Amino acid sequence: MRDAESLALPLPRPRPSRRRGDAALLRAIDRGDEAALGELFNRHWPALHRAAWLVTHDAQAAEDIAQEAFLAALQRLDSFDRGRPLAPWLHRIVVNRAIDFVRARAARREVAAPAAADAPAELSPAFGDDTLAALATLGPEQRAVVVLRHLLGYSPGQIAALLELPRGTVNSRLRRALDALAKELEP
Amino acid sequence: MSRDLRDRCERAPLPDAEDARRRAWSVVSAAAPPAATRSRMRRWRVPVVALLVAAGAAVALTPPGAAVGEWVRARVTTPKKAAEPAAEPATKPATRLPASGRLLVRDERGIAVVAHDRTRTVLGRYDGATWSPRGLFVAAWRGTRLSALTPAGAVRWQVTAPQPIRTARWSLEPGFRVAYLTSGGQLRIVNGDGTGDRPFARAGPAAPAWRPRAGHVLAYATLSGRVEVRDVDTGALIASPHATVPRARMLSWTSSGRRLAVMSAHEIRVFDLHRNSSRTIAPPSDSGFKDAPRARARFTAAAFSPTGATLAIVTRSRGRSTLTAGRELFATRGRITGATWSHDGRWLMLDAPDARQLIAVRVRGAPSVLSYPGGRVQGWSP
Repeated sequence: MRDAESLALPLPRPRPSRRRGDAALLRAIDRGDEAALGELFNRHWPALHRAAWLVTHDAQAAEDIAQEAFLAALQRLDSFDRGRPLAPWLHRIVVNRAIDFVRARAARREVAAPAAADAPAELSPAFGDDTLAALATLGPEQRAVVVLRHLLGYSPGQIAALLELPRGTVNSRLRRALDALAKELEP
Repeated sequence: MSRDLRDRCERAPLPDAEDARRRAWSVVSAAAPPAATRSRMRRWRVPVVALLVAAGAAVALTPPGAAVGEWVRARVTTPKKAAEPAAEPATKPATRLPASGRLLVRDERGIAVVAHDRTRTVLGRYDGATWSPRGLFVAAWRGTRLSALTPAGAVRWQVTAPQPIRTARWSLEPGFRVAYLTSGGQLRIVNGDGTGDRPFARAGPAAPAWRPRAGHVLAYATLSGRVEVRDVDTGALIASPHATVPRARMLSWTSSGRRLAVMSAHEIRVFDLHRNSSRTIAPPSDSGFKDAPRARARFTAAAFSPTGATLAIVTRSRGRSTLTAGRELFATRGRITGATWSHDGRWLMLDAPDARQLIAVRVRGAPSVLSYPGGRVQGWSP
């Protein structure tokens, strides 16, 4: 089977020179600077992809959600306040979409067909790593607050603002999630 | 616990991470800069936009522009006025389309182009039509005749098929091709300039789908329900998954060209051509009980978003049609027979033939539903 992505552009390499801020990169992107786009992508993609993965536990969906979130953010730059940091905006988009995806998946019946014999073995996340298995015991909303708090480093107040939730709700979701994780992860 | 959990989150294995990054970059680098630039231009609201659009249109509509832009040339008919299909005087309804671009709509009067301000230009009495990838041309068919038209209705070329034409799709990559399907199950290919009309394969009734970012690679469902992905220039078989989808009705690619959704009334199978695997989506059960008899739910439309891989799905169950795209967006008692994405991926236009309406549903942001006079959407140009 031919790999269509072999037609893709080469990945941008991280620039060794001085680090530009997100605002400077956005201005450069406005001018059509592809290197700036690559730099912005390299900077934010790993966190977006990992956050989507930890909430959805679905590799395909995580890739799609992170990609769509990045594109959606770029397409809505005209409504983005350039004086504010970009990362929280991206993180909010990706986490909300990941939550939506998990809810929708639960609402419809999905069955993964077995891969063909010559297909590369796919990692089985739920059984391959105890952290993922423990996270899988949580609901998507609880996973989202754990990811925002412990992977992306937001405070409960910031998470409340990002998800448009009362702070008490965030605190209680975090507390319950951590209790459940502690039980799952204890040696 | 806190630090430990952070380490665990950072180290949890993420399958296929580097390849995923590479694929995402290929899509972002192709899609993002023009969009970002356009956004910025809108923000400044400079008249330069209008000038650029006018200049672009002028280039596109001149013979050299047309030839270079989409390899279309006047082969059968030079655009003489007498040969052009009758164009109705444009009318201006009150409201605008919810997103940029133009709709191609079929109703009882034939095929019409509906502009953003809802100015309507009737192209003529055709059975169906499809946009070229940049919306510079329309391929329209009636009976056995396939015509390439400008959005103003000027015929650029025509070919005649051996049987009535059922549907057609214009390829996405330069050096364009048009794939069209006859009622006898013959899939044919014609070059974007109207030359080289030739039979290509036998296929079922679902419209074929060109694979994005892969040259002239076409996916189609055979009469037996197999899905084949072939290069139409060389005939090489790129992929033919083991799983079949009997009575496939729709095919839709993700923007990366990695996944292909094939919809029948009772399943949507999403093939991942990189992993050589597939996933099946079944219609939701109504009862909520595991052992209850299967509800007679069925799929009526499915389409991947143009900016990524959100799959919009319309299901019909117990007299109710429901649209989901990540989450449930809209439900109605009437039938919904088609769902078409706007190019910015923010809106879906639904065909609602019972209500003789088109319904626009906002996918991102605050919920919004708009309705327009009827017809069936054939495509939404950039």
